[in-house]
Amino acid sequence: MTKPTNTTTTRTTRTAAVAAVALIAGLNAAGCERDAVWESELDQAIALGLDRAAAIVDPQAERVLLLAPKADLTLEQQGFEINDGFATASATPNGARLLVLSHGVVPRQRATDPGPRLETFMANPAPARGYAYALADPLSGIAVDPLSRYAVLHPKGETTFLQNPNELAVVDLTRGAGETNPTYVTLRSFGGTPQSFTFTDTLSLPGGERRLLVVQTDRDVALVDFSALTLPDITIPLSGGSSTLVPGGVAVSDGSPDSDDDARIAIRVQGEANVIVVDLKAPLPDTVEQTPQSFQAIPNVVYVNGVPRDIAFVNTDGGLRLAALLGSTLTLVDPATGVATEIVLGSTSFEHMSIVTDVVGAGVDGSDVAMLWSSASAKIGFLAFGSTVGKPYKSVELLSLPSPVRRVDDVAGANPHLRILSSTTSNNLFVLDLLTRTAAPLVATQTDTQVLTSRDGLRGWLSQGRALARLDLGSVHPQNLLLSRNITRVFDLQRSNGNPAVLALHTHGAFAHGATVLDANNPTLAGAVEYAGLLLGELK
Amino acid sequence: MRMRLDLLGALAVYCALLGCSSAESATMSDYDGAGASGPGTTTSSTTTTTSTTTTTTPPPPPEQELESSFGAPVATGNYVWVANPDSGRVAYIDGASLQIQIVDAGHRPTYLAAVPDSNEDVAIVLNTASSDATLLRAKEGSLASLTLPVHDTANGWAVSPNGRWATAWTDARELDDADPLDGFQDVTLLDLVKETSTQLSVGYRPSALQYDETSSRLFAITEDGITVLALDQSEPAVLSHIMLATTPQDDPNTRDVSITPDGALALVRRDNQASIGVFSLESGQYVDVVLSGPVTDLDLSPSGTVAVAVVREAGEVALLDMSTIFEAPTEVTTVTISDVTVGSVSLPTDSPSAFLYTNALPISALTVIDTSLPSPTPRLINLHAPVKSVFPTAFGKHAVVLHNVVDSGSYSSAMSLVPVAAQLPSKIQGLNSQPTSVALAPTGERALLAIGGKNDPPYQMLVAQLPSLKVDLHTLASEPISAGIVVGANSGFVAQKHPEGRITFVDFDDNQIRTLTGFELATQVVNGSTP
Repeated sequence: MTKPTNTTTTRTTRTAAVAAVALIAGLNAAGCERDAVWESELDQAIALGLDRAAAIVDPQAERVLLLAPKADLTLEQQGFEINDGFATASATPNGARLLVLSHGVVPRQRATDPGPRLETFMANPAPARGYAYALADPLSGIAVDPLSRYAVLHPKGETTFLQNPNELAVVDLTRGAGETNPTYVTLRSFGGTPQSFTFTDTLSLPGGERRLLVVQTDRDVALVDFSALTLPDITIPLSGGSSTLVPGGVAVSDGSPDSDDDARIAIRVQGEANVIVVDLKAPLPDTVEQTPQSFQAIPNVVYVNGVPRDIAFVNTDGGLRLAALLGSTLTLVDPATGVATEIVLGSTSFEHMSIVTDVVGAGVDGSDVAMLWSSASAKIGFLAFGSTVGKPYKSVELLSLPSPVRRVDDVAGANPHLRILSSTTSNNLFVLDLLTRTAAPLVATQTDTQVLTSRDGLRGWLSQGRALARLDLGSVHPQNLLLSRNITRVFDLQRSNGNPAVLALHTHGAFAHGATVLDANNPTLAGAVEYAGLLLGELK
Repeated sequence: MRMRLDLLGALAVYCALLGCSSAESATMSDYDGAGASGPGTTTSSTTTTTSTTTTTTPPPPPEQELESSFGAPVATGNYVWVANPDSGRVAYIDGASLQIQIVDAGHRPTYLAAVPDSNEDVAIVLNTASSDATLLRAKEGSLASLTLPVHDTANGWAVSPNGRWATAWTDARELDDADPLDGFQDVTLLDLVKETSTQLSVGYRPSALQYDETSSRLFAITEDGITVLALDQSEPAVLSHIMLATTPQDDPNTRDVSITPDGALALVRRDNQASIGVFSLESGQYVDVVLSGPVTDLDLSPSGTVAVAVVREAGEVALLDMSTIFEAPTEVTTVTISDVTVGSVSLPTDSPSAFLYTNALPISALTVIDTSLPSPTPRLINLHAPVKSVFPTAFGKHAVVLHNVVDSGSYSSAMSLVPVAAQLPSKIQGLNSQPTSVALAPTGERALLAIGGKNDPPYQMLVAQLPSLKVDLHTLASEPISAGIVVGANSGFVAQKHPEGRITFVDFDDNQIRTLTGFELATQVVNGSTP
């Protein structure tokens, strides 16, 4: 098999890497018979974390390397060949599967040329291949279901002579390949192409509970029913007039738990003060026979008093409302009547809104609580939606920080009430406790600190350069380590004995991809196991 | 003149707020000297004319006509129809399911009218840019359309009671800077059965068109007089023209013309005149009915049996028996209202009651008389704020009264629900902005008010339940245009200003509120259904 060779001199090749390794290991690579892959670059390797292993996808070598820590912190290294024509890779949010999408040989000239494929790999209980799904045409993008059940494969850039950018392949990752897996869905198009995908939670809709795929194109929104993929999608245009409007985000509400006729999708429109609220209701009796779906989409335009920065459905003392965050004001819109109430939040302007009711609990009237933050303001806000409807002003409980927030990382598992806040202008990090509404500062000596929280929510890992710090999320106690090489990525993984390990992946540099594996509960350099030249191990 | 448009029994009425504001902008000093009953207090018995003006204060301003019809959007039995001139489409919304459908019309469909039809929902729209009209018939989910030519400049409709004729005409009052040499005398009669279009000419600048109850005659009330058109011949034709001016100084703009449903007589009231002209539309002859003072209001009952004339200065109400008045113009039943000033009258559609009040003075009272009695006894109903206008329900059991509010620190307006059939207290509701439109369900069980107007927020919809007098106020998302009733769906609506179209419905069965915005957007959803 001939692998493409990259001659760019500024990038590290395997020859250079192995030469460096040879210097250390006392080996001499010169004179070995080698494949062209040895000259291929390492820059394109992709590292992803699963629950039990770190995965390194090596496109040039067309293989995947799963690195699974054992009980003694050594790594079980399992390589798998992948299909020709790597396109992209992703991991399911639950860490159960690695998804590798490939084009195969393009164009296919011989019957033996491999076709496009989605391959899956798993690490639990041990590295192994999962289901593989042959595809009819090369696709380049993967959108992964937050609940890890579905993958939606879509075109992304040109790969073949002729491509339909609105054709999607929906893969049920819990089932093997079959006649209906993947299912091909061609979105009805009025000139638009898919831009982003939103997977809803289970919604109570007429006809039963189901999940929807909300596809935002550059001019409309399409709804695809995961439970009825062979039915046509529902296309919702955004413009009633001559102008073409572009969707800018969606929010979804299932409505009342005991009703199947009040689910709604709100569509934010770029640069517009109108939000389109789509009611999902039963078809009318006189149209039910002509309606393929068990529900119909009824769009309604609501004016929110300004271009919203973020939207969400919230429960208030007056019932369900669409909340549109405009900065220092918030507009609450009754989705049934379109009546808008503007609430002044004070002098602080916010950009983002996250509903945190599941963490902090609802108000006495079942109302939601939102966390507000902004990259331009050094304040975190907490807004309780009780006693908001009809009120012109609502106090926001503010938490002042030394600097604005660049990023908010959720914490799962045991500490869902925590958020890791990364600052925009300083090295500061904060551990925000949503219950006590306190923010514990963490001062880093270096900028661009990377943050990772473990799946069990007990630990956080912060890295920059060679520095690695373990943060106990219960006590906010940091433990600092200085590894021997610069850190590219950090993975908190489950060892074969169930105990956690941390795997620090090192920049390739002279050593290709190396790794240091430490006990995640008690990381010490003394007990660490180091690896070098990980990508060289199985090459021949 | 006072016109009523019966939309399948629903009474949709519009209160011209700007007119109200100017008319009611008189300061309190205007009312100085007025006692509880106002200036020119009269003393009288109940049936004989004995009033005398006893003060020298200036006469109060004229009574204001506030109950003109509002035409767009329009409701038929089951649908609300809304035209979009920019897109060339007409949306029709099912008042029960609220499903929106769209149909293409001509260029710039603008003026809509409901067409009575016992089997279908029918509306007709004037396409102003293509000088034609599109007839739309909806039945059981399907819609048929027909286009017929009309004359240029048409901006109004008159639809016959039997639904056969729709006449397009030009209301010069709706045009800015109309040249005096533009007579706007063309009318286009569309025969909706034969599907023909006939253009005829009427007098200078018509102000209203009215059919007789058999739809065999059409009367165009113009500045020149009344042009009579025959519809019972093989082709529509101009039959005659009745000159209304009895003197060279007769100003057509001060005339108030009513035509009896049988098309036999026309009543002409003139501002500041004590006489009412009664014209035979057959012969053109006329007689004068002379009353005791200037007639401030004149209403003809919908059945055409009686006309009620109010002489405010004398505190008199004259009842004209329309079956005899032309032959016996002096035989007038006079009711004297002794304890309160009245200057205006409102008549229910299906009741002999007459509701008397004044909006020229701050009088907080309503007087009701039964015009079917030989000697009606006035019944005074005290209210809690001065009356602006009165909207009786169809059977006259209740009335919605809008108030002028001048001394409230909290409210800029108010309305009352007044039980008339039962001796029960009225209920007043303070409002934070002015009502712009009132719609009454033909059953008399619901009243719907659109509240708020340009630069007059907040915008609200008031739903009143009768006879319980329960009032619910709902905030509207934008400025209301008009209120209406969808009889077949037992629902009401308030149309509002919005670039994409907005209408709020209230279901009278469960009082649920639902606002639709973006009519055409809603119809553009594609679900792969088979037509």
